[in-house]
Amino acid sequence: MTDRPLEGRTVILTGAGRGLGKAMAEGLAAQGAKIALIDLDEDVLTAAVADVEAAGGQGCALAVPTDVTDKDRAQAAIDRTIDAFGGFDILINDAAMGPQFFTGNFVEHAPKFWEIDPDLWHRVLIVNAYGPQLMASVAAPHLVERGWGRIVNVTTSLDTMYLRGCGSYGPSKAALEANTRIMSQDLAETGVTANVLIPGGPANTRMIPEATGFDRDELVQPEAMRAPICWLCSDDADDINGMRFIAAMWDESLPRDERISRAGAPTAWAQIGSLAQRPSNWADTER
Amino acid sequence: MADRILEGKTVLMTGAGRGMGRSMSIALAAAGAQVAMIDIDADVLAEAAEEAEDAGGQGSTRAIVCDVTDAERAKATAEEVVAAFGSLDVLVNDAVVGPERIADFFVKPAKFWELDDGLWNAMLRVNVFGPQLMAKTCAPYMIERGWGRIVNVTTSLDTMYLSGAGAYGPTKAALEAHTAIMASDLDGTGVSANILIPGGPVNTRMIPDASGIPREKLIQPNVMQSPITWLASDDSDGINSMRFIAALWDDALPRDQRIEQAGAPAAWTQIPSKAFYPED
Repeated sequence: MTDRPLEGRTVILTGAGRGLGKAMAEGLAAQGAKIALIDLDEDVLTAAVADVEAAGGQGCALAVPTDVTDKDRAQAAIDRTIDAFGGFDILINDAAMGPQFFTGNFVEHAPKFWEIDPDLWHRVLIVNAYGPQLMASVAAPHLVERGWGRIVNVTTSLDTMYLRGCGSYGPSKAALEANTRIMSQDLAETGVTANVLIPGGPANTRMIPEATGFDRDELVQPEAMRAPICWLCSDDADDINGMRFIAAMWDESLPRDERISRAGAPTAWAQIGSLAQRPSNWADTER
Repeated sequence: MADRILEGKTVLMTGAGRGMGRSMSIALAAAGAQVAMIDIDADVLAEAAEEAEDAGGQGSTRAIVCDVTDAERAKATAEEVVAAFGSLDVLVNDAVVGPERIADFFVKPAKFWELDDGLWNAMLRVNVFGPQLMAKTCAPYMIERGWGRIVNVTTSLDTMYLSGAGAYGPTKAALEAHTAIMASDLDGTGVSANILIPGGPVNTRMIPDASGIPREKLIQPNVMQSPITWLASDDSDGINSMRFIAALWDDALPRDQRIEQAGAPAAWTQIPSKAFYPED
């Protein structure tokens, strides 16, 4: 543990019990950060805390079972983190309901939009789009007051946002992608940033069930998230706001600028350049 | 009523009481369609249905009060439409909770952490789940007949991340992506899913007078009329997974040029940022 550049930083990480969330928590802890691990599932959370502490040292991890769509519990989770660690600096929204809730094998059986249970479709939308909004809205005032902070939202590849057979998974991530760009505008000049980090393809987590038949080794490994998330959470990323990064394209061996330009792009789809036609005095109004 | 190219087709229009939904209903009725007009506000709906019936002729419209997020009501509404008009051929998802519901929208834009959670969630429910529920309910009728249209009203790509408008933009991004999914699922059925947007802020209640923008400088709701009529017609057979900008739609142009000027693929397929999939 010679290199602990995140010493003194505290992270709140949702969906920390498994998969990408847990891999990021281990990576951040290894670099010295303290982590409040949030998940719905208390059992996986307990196991995850042990693994994260193995990476970062005893006392670096705190289990906070929370439903990220419940406002009172979200607030309580943040209060508990502040009590335990004296504050927090970083919110990572990784909790999500994946395509596996709609089909055990989206390769073989892609359910049509008219075949899907409406309540499930709506629930996934709430967890994946409203959950991060709720967590960020509860967290942001604290970060803004401290004058330094990070919000990192895990969305998905741009083309996965309209992948058939996955119910509302893709659309929910499109909403979060757009909302991240809104967050980054609202946070401009506050010292707090909002960015997106995605794996860059199907990852070796429970979201890609064994039945899909993919070679697990060929999937993006959750560990790919570690280097870019540690960098995004470091002071070196102070000037990075409103960007999306693809973990699978992140190459630590490159110089900073090249690394950023290879794996990074603006959030959302601003490159298309299809803009709303607005009245000439639109910009003059106090919006 | 010279050209009633939609004679024999039945349209279900959500958000039909006001603004663009009302304007589109009038045009579709005038083009010969039977229009089932859905809204949650019974009073404005009754008035709008009368206006559309004036344009389309007696019996051309039917006003149905329906919350698009209520599965039971959606089902009953579709059944009522089919019973009354004999088919359900076109669904236009226009109903929305707009940013005008945010206090001081346009006067003092709220930061994302100042927004009301209940309203954020209501936008998500009405603007994204509502169209999905209506489409799920209506699609089987269309597929059975081998012809149909789903048209979703989203917004300009940059409005999807407009700060100060709460969940409005993100909900439209979700509906945009979902339209592309609908189009994939409908491929080969004779039913299509496309997007129609005005192309900028429109002279509806969504842009409050407090904005100070002269109403006549906004896009007028009636720009939607011509492209929605075309999208509902047989002439748009073969058009699937596209988005059209009404303000760029020019009826004077030949079909191909018209499509090229106002149309683009749904969502953001132009951006070559693709997921890596394991090689087969």
